[in-house]
Amino acid sequence: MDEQLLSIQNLTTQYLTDESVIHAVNGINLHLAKGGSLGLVGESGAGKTTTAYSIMGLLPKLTGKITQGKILFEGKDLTRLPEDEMRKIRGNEISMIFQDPMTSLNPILTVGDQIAEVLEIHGTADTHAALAKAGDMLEMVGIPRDRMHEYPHQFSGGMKQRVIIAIALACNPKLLIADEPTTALDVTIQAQVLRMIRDLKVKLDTSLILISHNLGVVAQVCENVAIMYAGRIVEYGPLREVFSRPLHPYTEGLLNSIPRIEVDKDRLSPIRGMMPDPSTMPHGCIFKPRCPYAAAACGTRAPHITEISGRSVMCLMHEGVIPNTMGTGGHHA
Amino acid sequence: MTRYIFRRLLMIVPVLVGVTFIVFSLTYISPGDPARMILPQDATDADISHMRHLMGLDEPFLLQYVHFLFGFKSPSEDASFSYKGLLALDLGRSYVSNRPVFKTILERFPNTALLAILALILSVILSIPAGIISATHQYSVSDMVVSILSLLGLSMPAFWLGMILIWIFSVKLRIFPSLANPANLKSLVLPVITLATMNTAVQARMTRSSMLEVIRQDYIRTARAKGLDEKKVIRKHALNNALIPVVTVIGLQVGQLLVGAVLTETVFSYPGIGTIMVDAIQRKDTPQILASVVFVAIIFALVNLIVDIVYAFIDPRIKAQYESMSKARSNGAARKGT
Amino acid sequence: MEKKLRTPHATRPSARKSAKQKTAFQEFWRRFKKNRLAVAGFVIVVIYILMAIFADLFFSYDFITENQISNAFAPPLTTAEIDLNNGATAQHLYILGADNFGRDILGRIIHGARVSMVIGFTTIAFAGIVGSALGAIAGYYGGKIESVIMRGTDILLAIPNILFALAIVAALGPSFQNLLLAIGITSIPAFVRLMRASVLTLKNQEFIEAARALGARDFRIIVRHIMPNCMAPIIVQATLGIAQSILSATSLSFLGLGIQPPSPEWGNMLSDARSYISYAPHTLLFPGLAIMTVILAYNLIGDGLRDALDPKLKR
Ligand SMILES: Nc1ncnc2c1ncn2[C@@H]1O[C@H](COP(=O)(O)OP(=O)(O)O)[C@@H](O)[C@H]1O
Ligand SMILES: [Mg+2]
Repeated sequence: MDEQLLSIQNLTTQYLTDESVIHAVNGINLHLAKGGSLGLVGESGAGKTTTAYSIMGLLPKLTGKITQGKILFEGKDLTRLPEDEMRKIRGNEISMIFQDPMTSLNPILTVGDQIAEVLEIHGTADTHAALAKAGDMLEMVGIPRDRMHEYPHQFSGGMKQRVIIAIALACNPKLLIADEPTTALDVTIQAQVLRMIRDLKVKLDTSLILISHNLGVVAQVCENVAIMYAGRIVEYGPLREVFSRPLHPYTEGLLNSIPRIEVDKDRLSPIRGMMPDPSTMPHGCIFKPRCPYAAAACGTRAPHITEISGRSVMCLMHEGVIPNTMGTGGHHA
Repeated sequence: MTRYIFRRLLMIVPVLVGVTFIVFSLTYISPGDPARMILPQDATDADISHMRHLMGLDEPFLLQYVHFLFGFKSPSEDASFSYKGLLALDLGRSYVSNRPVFKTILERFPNTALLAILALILSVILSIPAGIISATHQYSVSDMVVSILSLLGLSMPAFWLGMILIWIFSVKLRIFPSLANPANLKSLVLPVITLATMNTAVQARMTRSSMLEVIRQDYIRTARAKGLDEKKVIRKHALNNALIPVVTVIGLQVGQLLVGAVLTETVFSYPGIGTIMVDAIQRKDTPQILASVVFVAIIFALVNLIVDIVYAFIDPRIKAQYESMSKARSNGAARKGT
Repeated sequence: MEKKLRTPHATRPSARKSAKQKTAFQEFWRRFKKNRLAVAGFVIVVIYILMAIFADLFFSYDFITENQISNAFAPPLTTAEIDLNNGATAQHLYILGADNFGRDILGRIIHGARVSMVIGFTTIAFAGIVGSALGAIAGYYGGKIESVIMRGTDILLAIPNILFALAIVAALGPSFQNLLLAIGITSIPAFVRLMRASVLTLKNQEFIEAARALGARDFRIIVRHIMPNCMAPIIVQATLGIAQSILSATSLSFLGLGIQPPSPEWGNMLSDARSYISYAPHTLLFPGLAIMTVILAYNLIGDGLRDALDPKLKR
């Protein structure tokens, strides 16, 4: 097997608010090989961003807390690293691209300064060289270098996202986490930015975690995919296999809700219902209320992770507790 | 940029016209009759109406406003009834002292300006660091202390605070004099503190909430994600953005300083424009009141103008917004021209 | 508030909106109640209002405006002989002492509360109604009407507000009505701006468009649908505005341009006290504390309301 770059073990992250404890991430396991690419897919509120923040050490100081588990990055446990060690990794070895490019750049600094800053922080270059390198980075993301003296408001959304990509990649990180990098962009721009991330990943030999609520986006870029639901990874496996034969009912639902041209519009079946409130989790399987295959046992016994030839899934059907009726469409259909 | 400044200068013209018009109208509808005021008690009605004519008070309202702006030539031999108008900083003479009203104002204004500038400096020095510490250490003891002190400062009437300071520092401790004058720096300490308190409170609260707002922004997260340490995140990314709205508030606060000066000057019997105004009001010295109010309003408008321009320098978005606006406008004009 | 929204021809979107409104309001109230400082402010204001209403039960107006020269400057907690109107005398405990004319300071503070509360409420009610109406019109109709209203507002804002009040009182003469007028007018612009901004954001929302599509008249849309939805920021502004009004009124009275003695008013009490700072500091201390407490209370409520409306600032 390939050498592991990132290995997340039993990660549990919570937010403490005035009223309640929000169980945003509940004991997830994830692995990413050097040079690999992983898609993290789930609907809004599933805990994807929280997972990313846990890796980056960017959880809100007063409220966010990792309560259990390890995040091993090249063998070091990031959850135990002191803040100043963590700072050396952030932006340098692990970088992150955020969802909303419109607000993610400082409005009163030029884009050149903002790219150069990350190089200066990590001592990669002195001020002068950093600015020159910032120009190179801009060109790499397809923006003329003489625009480095302009301010963010002079750029379009897609261009801002490219600037953010330039910042993220400036120090040639080992791992890039892209959190819904195209969600806020126009459809036409989405494809461009996605292609750019994919190409630069290959060119710079960076490992990638691509977060999206859209399986289609991940399909274009990633080798492996993890499906997240209510703070858990309900299915994990190579992208092709997961696509051609989903093991978890939720994955199946996600796949059915991707619009395809050849399929009749009426037969699009979005998943019914809503995700459970993360401050009060239901007993048994978390997906039961929405699951078309749910049986009585699902309400009492929570599924464990079942490994099936290099893939893993959390569902009682694969533990043999209830009969596997996947593919029949279940009793709702 | 020069074009922006020029445009912005033009924009205050209608405001100034409006302000002067309102103040003028107020005196016009004022029940007191200036002609009766300057004539002896036993003057006949004929004397009064003659005097009204000499003073231009029998003219129609709008014409009087024009005189107010551009000057008035009295039919009288006595040159003191004529004046060159607001634009020439000449609105005639005080009924009480018979001196040109603007002469008094211009003599005393530097005193008020001195007080206001010192208070402004003091308030900025105290409030901005206090607000930043308070925001970056939200819920800490220092946050609570700053919050409570600024609430108290906000709630204390300046004139009362001034008198309490006099009681403590002049009467009891005998450290500072209770009467202030610009020649004696030591005597300025109490009035400056008095005047600065409200501003300090307002600015500290503003800095705190602006800072809290900025800290939540996405670009602060970006800066942290770069591996920047927290101190630099605050200094380089949060502070400048947070101070942009604070600058506007400081601009608006200058108006409050001028108003506060009226009260503070009264408490400390300080010879500034505030005491002129209060004296003039008590003696019904109309030209002096009119001139003082208009003068302060104009200064206020000019200060806001300066603040706006500074604002454009520190916030590239405003500049761009303006530039695109003026470009669109000049394009439109060009199209109309052809 | 929710009831008003349910007009006879309530449409589904607006009905849903009103249901949401209710829970939003309950949520807001729950958050406000959790803020102990704000609740303390609320209690203080209630005490002042009760003082204002029942002032005559504590001290008669005649008693606190009549001179008792022999008791001038009596320090706090002294008992002294006072002349009654019928020529008789009585013992009286001056809890907070007596002023330069021997009048009971506590009594004058309590009656002063009446004056201040009346000024605070009437000026802000006036400014709130006029300002909100103008702001709603400007925001709803836009165009020429809007620019006229907003330019007018800019001009009013261009004159620092106590200065403007001072000019009005100077022109019209110091009297209670003129004081109300002056402070009322200078309080208008804040409401105009706030209301206009709220209306602009609401104007194109679906429940308004639904009402319009159903043929509701503009006036009805503004009063029934838009205004209730803009109330929250207006209430915050009103609370802070009352504090500002009271402060302005005491300032003008202090300068001799507001309420004239012997009518009891905190500002004119301080104006008298100014001459006796070294001799009788208690005449200075208590009226000032009265002002400070009530302004502080309103500010606490205003902050509490604002935080409750915009909880993100707290977290
Ligand atoms: N700062 C926070 N404080 C409290 N709860 C939070 C915070 N951030 C996220 N959450 C909650 O944690 C859960 C997971 O959120 P998130 O990780 O942002 O999901 P995703 O990125 O998959 O949409 C959600 O229920 C969300 O409401
Ligand atoms: Mg997210």
